[in-house]
Amino acid sequence: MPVRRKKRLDLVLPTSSMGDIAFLLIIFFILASNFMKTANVEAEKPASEDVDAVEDAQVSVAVDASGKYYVQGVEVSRGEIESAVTQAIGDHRDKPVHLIVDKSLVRENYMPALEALGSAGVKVIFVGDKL
Amino acid sequence: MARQRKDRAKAEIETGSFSDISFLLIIFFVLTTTLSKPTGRLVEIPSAAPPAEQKKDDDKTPTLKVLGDRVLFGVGQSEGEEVTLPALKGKLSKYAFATKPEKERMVVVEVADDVQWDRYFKVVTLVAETGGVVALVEKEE
Repeated sequence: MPVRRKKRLDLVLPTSSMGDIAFLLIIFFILASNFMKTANVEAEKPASEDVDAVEDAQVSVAVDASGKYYVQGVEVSRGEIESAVTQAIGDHRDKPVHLIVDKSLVRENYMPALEALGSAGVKVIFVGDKL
Repeated sequence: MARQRKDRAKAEIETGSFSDISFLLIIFFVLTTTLSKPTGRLVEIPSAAPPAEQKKDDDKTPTLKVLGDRVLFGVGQSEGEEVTLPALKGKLSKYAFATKPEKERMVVVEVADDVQWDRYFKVVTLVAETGGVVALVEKEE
């Protein structure tokens, strides 16, 4: 007598909707992302007890560990900070500028950036970690 | 006699609702996710420090001298006394800056050449926390 094989059940997972889900996720992340303009700047942030969560940056100024100045991630000279910030912020003067400075820098490195931002007449958020 | 097999019921996993479950999960995560927010402190910096003549007459302006690890707190032209950061916060809180116009919220912050940003950051964010406006002092050439 021939041996009959059991019929295996065909289990098929419908995956046609996975593409839609993936697209939805991609669209969400694109809309929710705010890409860091200072990702290329190597600066170790300072810390303080007196900081809180702040709004995201429209314009950011950074001073890296070697004392180089960046506006929106683009290196500028000391004398160009004010004009670069004014140009970057445009008509949105109510939006604060984020200032990121390496914590080991001394006065001669950070004071020019502060003076330039003061002269530009913009709101400044000192970026640092919470202690 | 040939054995008769019972007809087994077809076992199927119902997957039609998977996409609905996925959507519900996505909506749940979208609503409950908190994306990392930057932390910092809004610091008001006036476009220019008060002129020297004005400072002489105005003996009520709190003045901070940040010298290395030390912070001196004084009023007007006085030399100032050394304070810790918590003590400084207490002293500045007494000024009740929040209720005053900008001109009366000035805190002059002088900083020595060797003071690192980490130290300056702590002092300035403390001043801003109490409602003070940081007046930068330009170095005399």
